Amino acid sequence: MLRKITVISVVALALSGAVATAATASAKKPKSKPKEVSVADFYFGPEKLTLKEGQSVNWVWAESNTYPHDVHLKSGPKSLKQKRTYSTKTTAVTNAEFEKTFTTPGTYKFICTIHPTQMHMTIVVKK
Amino acid sequence: MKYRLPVLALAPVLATLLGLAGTVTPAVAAKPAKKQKTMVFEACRHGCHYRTIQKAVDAAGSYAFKNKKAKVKVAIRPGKYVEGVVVDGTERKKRFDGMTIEGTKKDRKRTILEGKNAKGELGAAQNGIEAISVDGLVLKNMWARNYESNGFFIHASSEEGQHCDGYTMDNLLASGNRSYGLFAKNCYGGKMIDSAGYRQGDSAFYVGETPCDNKKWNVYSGEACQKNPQWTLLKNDESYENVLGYSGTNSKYVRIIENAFFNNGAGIVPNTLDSEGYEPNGWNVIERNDVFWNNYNYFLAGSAFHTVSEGLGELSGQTVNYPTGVGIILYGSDHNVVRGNHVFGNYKWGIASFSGPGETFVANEGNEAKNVNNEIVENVMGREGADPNGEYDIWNDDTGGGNCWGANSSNSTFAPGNGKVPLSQIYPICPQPEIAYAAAKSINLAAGLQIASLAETGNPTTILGYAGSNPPQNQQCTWVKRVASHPAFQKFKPVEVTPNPGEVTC
Repeated sequence: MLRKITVISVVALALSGAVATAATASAKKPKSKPKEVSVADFYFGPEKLTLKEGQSVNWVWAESNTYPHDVHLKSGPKSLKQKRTYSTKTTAVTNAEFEKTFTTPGTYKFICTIHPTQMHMTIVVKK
Repeated sequence: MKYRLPVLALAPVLATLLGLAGTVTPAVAAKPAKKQKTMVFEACRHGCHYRTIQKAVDAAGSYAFKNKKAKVKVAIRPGKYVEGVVVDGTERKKRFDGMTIEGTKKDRKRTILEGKNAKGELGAAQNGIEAISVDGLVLKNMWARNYESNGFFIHASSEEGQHCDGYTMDNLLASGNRSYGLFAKNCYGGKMIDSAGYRQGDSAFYVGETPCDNKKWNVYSGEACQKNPQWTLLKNDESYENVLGYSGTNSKYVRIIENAFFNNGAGIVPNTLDSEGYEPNGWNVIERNDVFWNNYNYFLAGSAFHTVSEGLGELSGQTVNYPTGVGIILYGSDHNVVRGNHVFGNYKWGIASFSGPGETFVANEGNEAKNVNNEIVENVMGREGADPNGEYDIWNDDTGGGNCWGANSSNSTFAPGNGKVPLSQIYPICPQPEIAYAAAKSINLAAGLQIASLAETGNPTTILGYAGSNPPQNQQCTWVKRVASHPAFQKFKPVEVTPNPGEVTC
């Protein structure tokens, strides 16, 4: 039990530090609202987006959907790290959101693996 | 035998504590040495090493990755698990192929996967269990209910080189899920057996987008989709109070035998839609099922569930829904065999078959929803008069070609249309020569069964007029109840929705 409390304390301290860092960063530059992309039967809307480095995209599954969809990174910039985190692990029909911040400039191509021929989109991230 | 459970429960814990992650602990000590041993990971609400199914699944996947020859099983003790489990075969350093996830054999209702208030990666948990790109997965003895999407969902993206072949769904129950109960998509073969589903917003059982060996295959090529077909079996299942009992969009090589489909909007519906790959549906066998009382008008306010189905498509801006009050529907089917089923007490039609009119109305892009080369034979209709189907036992829109009917109940009734085309031409006897896909037409106005005319698409005596009824609950205006009440049949009870005053405007 004691060990648990210690762990929690450390986590709390770390979190407060993270919050402080985030607050400092946000004071410098207000975080822009994520651009919204609709995940609908059977399209992403919009299909093309241009972002500035550091901007985010929030994919929102449409309420009217009947079919499951996911967001899957088909290709991205060569220098991109942690590529898997740009894809959802699961599918969803509705009542779902997926947000991702783009910090590496380049061209990103996304598909829905369930409907790969119909659903695709491109995001260009500029410096 | 009585010591088996504690041993199984301790096995993974001991292995972890002793640093024996690479050691396979036998689940059954008496097994011959040469047999593969099974490592069991137990999940339970209290007193086990894993308190969620997901944690047990992840641990089992990691173990199987390190121990390539080991078989792994996740055993879920009775209880209610508020979570959505993901079995992600694309995950690194995990292996899920051949894994078994099972609940309580004695009573599947004792192991509940609850979707209400369950959280997942994207917000609400979407599926009871979702398996992505896993071969040979076995799901047994569980109940998944109230999920945002589906109860049990197994799929793969063949575009991404994924597989989900040879799955088994055994003794499962699915209820109250927004879309489907037991759902498999883009898999080569599998089983859905001894399971049941009710109150899904689409179908309780769904097999869709059966892939082909040749990725460039299309129905016009005349070649086989799969050179050595991998069959999917649905057997001894019960499906009731759903929009559709079974739906198979672009499904192929599915044997649907000895099941009960009752009290749905429609019973068994292999169908062809642009929404999925590998059009059309075909080469399925629907045999010896009981298909009865499919008169659940889910468009009414009093329905216990809401439809999410977009139906068959749009025609002149009007949604064409699935027809209700029908036992078996072949929609854009190719080489399906419907044989020896008992079809009774459906208020519209017993067995209906029709095409998606791709030529004029573009209900199907590529014109791949033609009804061709199907056999409808040896079916027993209306319990030999005791519980007749409503308007007609057998209905066909006279499109496509190469279809045949033979040796169905001698007193079966056939929809005649406008009388301009002889019944023997609308319902040719078996066998019939096969028609080439390109030669078949998906639209035919002659018999007045598909549409009355290009200008009159709303006539309810035609399939497009009936399915396009506006408001949709008015489909029941042309239902025919030939007996005051259905005679008793086995353990089953008929369930229908009562309209509110003024809700149906005939």
